[in-house]
Amino acid sequence: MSSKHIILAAALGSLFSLGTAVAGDDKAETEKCHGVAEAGKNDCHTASHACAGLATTDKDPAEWVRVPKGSCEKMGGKLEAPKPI
Amino acid sequence: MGLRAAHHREVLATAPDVGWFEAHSENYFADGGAALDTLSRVRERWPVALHGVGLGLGSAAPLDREHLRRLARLVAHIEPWAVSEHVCWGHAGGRHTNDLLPMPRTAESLRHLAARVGELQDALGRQVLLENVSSYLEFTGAQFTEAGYLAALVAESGCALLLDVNNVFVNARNHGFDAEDYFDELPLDAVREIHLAGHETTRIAGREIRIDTHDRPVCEDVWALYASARRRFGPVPTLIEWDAALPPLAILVAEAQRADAIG
Amino acid sequence: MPMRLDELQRRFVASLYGEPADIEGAIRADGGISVADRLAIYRGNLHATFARALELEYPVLAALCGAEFFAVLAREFQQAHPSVSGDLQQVGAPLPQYLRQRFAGGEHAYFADVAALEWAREESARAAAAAAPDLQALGAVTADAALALRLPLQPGVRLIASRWPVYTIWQAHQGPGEVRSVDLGAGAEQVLVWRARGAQQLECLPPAEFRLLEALRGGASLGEAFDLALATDPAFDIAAALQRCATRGILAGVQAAIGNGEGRAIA
Repeated sequence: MSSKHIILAAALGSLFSLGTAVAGDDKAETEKCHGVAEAGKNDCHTASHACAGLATTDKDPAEWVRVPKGSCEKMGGKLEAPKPI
Repeated sequence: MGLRAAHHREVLATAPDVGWFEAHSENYFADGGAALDTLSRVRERWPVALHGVGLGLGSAAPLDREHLRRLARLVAHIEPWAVSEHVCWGHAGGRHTNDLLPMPRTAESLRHLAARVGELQDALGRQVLLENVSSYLEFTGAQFTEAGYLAALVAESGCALLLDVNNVFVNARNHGFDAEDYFDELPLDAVREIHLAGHETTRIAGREIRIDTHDRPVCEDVWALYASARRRFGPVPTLIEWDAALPPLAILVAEAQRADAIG
Repeated sequence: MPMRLDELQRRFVASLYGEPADIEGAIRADGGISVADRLAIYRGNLHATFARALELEYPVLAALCGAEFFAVLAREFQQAHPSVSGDLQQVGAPLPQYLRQRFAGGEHAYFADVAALEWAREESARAAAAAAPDLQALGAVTADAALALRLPLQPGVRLIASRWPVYTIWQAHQGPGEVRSVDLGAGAEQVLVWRARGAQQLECLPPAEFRLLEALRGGASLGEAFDLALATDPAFDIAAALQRCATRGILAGVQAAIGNGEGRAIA
């Protein structure tokens, strides 16, 4: 019997002591702590978008912003991608 | 009232005094997770209606079998008091618009839609409610009025109606008909649920047009039309739809209680 | 004679997507509002609904892009990958791959990995919850059986490896207040996404532990997975890693592969 057998069996054995204290099923806990549901993506399906429908409908593509201008400007350091691991 | 994710936690914690909840079916198509879990818990305390927004029954393209399978699974799990969809189409050539597009009101489209409603009712093993939608255009060659088309759909498919009073008002203004005439044409006993919502009035090329935005309180004109609908169709369960610019739960509850007090 | 239903709908959708479609004649132009203006309302809805759903699915990407560029990106992506479902929860699925090509080799190449992380959270939120493993039965597995044991992970587990510090970028966008600065050169991160207590959890893992989970998820035996982890880090502590798996709740009910390789459920 290799040492690997023994290490793995011992590692699994250590789970024994955790016993039933930890449950993989997340439903058990939601009784006390309701999960935060993601916003319902389909809610915008029923409603029309007045402003989007009219003002910004057919903006000239020439006016489009061509580069990201959000919080990416706070992502600094080396611009070149690091080598793959 | 409508069940929206932003209020999930508060609804369960405070158990507001409302008669029932309505959920957008597609938001609960998941295999598991917090949203589905919340809906299941809401169902333990209140009746729930499932309101589908994505099937696009009037589309000529084949019915999405996976969509139907997930809906049937959800209906079996939640056991809602009502299952509804829209009198609309939504996709063609494999591209979905994720919008509720108006039907061309022809005999051909009616046959098609009625057959699809029949397919849906067979798949779910129950009657479904079909809702009238707001529209900003009409197709040429209409062979029915909008209300006449709904009445024919009820007769041909055996479905019931979800009457959106705001949508009737919006379309009456946008397309120039009398909302009371519209009510006259509907089969009295087919209306099983009513929707109300807020809409926006805007102008295109100097002409007024009403856009169904679901982002504000119900306007007084629509409340008045609702009172008329209640006199005709009786005390059917009524829901206020509010999907964008969502207010605090208490305001939604107050609007829902106002609707219950009318009639 | 009115246009046939399928033809009318095909042309209408093509028109909304900006293609020449010859639909105008089938639409009434009354009330002083032109057919073009009426179609424009639906075209606006098409784009706004899609962009709004994407923004809900990819809030960090949206922040990185800024509102104006995100609207442009959403429009480009919608043209390349129109919605193929009546369920708006599905529209964002092809976005990480799209971004991989769109920003390949450039200074925003990390956007694709940030998006992959956000999509992993979406999938995790909607995944089924499998039964929990019986840890006592696991603890009693013999040394012989341990090597061949398969430890399945919960369906909501996702593993995202990036050359960039994607977890740090994601974290920098959480909570109120300004987005914190991040050094993109800080190096690779391996992120575990899972669901516990009804909410999605994210944690950065050491490379060897990540390798172990990847292997287990791929169906490798515990012995094979352990070998891969050891190859990444010779000092890898398997006992500590398995205990973390158990306390996080990422393990599902277990199959023990015995002898001939046929699984026997022990939990």
